[in-house]
Amino acid sequence: MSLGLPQHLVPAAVARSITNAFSVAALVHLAATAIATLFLQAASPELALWPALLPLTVLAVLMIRLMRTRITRNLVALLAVGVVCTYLIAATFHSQPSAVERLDGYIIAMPTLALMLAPGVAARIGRTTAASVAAFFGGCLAVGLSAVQHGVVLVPAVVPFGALALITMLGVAAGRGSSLASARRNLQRAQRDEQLASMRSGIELKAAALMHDTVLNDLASLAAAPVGPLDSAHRAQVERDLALLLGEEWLSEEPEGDQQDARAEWQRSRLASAIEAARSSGLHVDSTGDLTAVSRLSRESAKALGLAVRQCLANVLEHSGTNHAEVAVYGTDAEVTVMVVDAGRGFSESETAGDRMGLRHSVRSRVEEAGGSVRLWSTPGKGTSVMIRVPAEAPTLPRVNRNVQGGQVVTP
Amino acid sequence: MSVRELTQQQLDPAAGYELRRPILLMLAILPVLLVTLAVVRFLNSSSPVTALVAIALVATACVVLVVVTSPSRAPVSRLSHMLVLALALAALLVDVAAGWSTDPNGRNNLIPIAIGVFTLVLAPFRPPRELAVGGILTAILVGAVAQLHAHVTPSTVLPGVHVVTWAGPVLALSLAAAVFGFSMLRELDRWRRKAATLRLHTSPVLRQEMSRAVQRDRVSVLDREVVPLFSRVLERGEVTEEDQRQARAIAESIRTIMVADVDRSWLESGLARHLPGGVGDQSPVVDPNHIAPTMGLDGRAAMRALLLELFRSPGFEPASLRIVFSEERGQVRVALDARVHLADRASRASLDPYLAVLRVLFPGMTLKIIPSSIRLEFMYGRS
Repeated sequence: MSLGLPQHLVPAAVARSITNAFSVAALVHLAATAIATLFLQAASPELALWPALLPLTVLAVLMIRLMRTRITRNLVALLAVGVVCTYLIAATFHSQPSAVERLDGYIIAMPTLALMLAPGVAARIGRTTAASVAAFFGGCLAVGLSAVQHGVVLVPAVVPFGALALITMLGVAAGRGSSLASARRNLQRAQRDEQLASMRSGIELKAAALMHDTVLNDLASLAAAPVGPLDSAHRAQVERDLALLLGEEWLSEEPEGDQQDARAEWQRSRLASAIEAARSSGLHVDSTGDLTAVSRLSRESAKALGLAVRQCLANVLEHSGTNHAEVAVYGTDAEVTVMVVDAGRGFSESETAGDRMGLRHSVRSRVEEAGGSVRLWSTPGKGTSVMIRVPAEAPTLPRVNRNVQGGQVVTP
Repeated sequence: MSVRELTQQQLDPAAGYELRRPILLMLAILPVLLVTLAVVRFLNSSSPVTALVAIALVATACVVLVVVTSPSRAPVSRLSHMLVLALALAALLVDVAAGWSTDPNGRNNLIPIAIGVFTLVLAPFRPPRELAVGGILTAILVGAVAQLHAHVTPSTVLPGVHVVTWAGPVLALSLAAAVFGFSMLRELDRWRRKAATLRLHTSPVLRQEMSRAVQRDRVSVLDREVVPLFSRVLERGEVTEEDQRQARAIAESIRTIMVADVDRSWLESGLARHLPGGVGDQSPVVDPNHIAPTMGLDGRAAMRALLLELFRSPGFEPASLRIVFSEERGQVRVALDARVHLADRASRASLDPYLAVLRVLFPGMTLKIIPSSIRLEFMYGRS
């Protein structure tokens, strides 16, 4: 959605729309004149009214030509030939007194109205309004001349005059453009700022999640590490995270890897890496279900899922009091669902408000950012289950049911 | 936010405000014409009182249009459209009953023209399809009344011609209104697509630049404490009690900053640069349930623009600003209060366009402006 057109586009857009509207009104007026002529001709076969259809057709053709190509030559041609046509139409009716009696004066004024409407309006008001004024006087003159020639009583052109007032007023309104120039500019600026703020917020969220997964986890490990020599796994982890954070462009997108087959895809996946990382930290993880379903994830979704599962497994290791967890993967064409289940001590989400960054940032926000959702069930003393759902892309690889235990992939 | 209808007013909310003057001028033509003709024909009418009723009905339709198209009542509903058409049709029937239209030349089709002009006035406010369908149906009804009129009122004019004379202007102006609305929507759509394409091309570059800036910010934070600590531990190859204490302290401080960052809503971030001293503990935004992010981008942009205009007002007291987000029956309620001295008409008028836009985005918004304060309240469904 949007908050509307920018200021500089308003006059031209309004002028084009009014012109299109006038064009339709002009054609309807010509059609109405033709229908009234046909009604009258059918009711009075003795009259010769059908010739009025010829100038009406010429008028319609010239109008359509102007509508298709709005150039001065077509406008001048319409006005010049149009006034003659208006005279011919009026003369056809005025020359037959019984036709004048049975016809409404408005019908004779309709070609003039059509002629006035056809030029439309332009962002530069002068030219088109002048054309409508010319059409008004030309049309009235043509009808008046015909009336005088055939001795018909002249009636004041109230409706064409009212129409001229309306056309001029709309022309002036379109020409003036927006009376809210600064408000429109401010709204556009606010909209742009808001889009940028939203983009930045997404990037900051990503950065915060990464910071949490790396720096905060490393700091927590360091705080909990026994005093003395640094073990090699811990050293490797800190070195890897430092290199990542201080290295180049850690917030930018990663290049897409090859997608050769389901097994390679799984082994390369973020989810598999997350499970491997948890295993190397001492957690025993069983992964079950349709592991190749991860191949249907977009790069962003796969990344979000992998990092979210990594955090869930880190939580199991840190807080659950058990060293065993299960990661179950289910896939449909529309989404991939991963359950991370442990039978540890469980918790109450409301009691974790002080340190909600892990769950909120690294799991919930991250997955929601990728268009997915997270549900959590945990009961103190009875373990925790986290269900993560992320949208899948169209299937590209054959689905294989696998069962992985202790890091080995077994194909049934 | 509610679902926005496909109308110019809904998709370009400022348009409803800026069209106010042309609409009033357009409607002013009608009473002038009607009153002039009424004076001339009043004495010839077989039922002057009924003729006056017809004029009164047309005038009422004009008043209804003036009221419903007012930016302070946006958006215009379908019911208002129907009401205007019904009043105009009633005026036509009364007019026919009064014999006011009995004219040897049958030229008095001013009420059908008025119906057409009414529809034209509604062009920016109602969907094109509704305008076209309403116009065609009204033209058929007007044609039927014309046919009836031709049979009961002696006239030399052929009934078929009479029908064309009355239904023609209704149809022409209604279709013109629909085409205007359709063209404006097409212009808006064209702009939206163009802007989306532009965003598509510039977003990756922008995102890259922004990512670098965010990374620079984060790395500068890490450089101060985290990197030296990790480097020391890695270099030394062992963990000391001091390292543990420092790791805990740094983790706590980073976590506190991160929680504060996450808890700060888009509104607080937007306000931060305008409030003297930024958004500190005394934030003007009260959002205990963190529901501000549920507001859509358009709503946020309109709020941001209104707040900027408030900050520009010389009589605005920034310290008095308070924006409360709360939940009510599954919807989000937003209440904004501020002290602002809107002494003259111009300072009040400077806020009007933004309030008009908010009113379109959040139908049902209530606004209370007294010379020294402003209070607005609206609700929207979670997006």
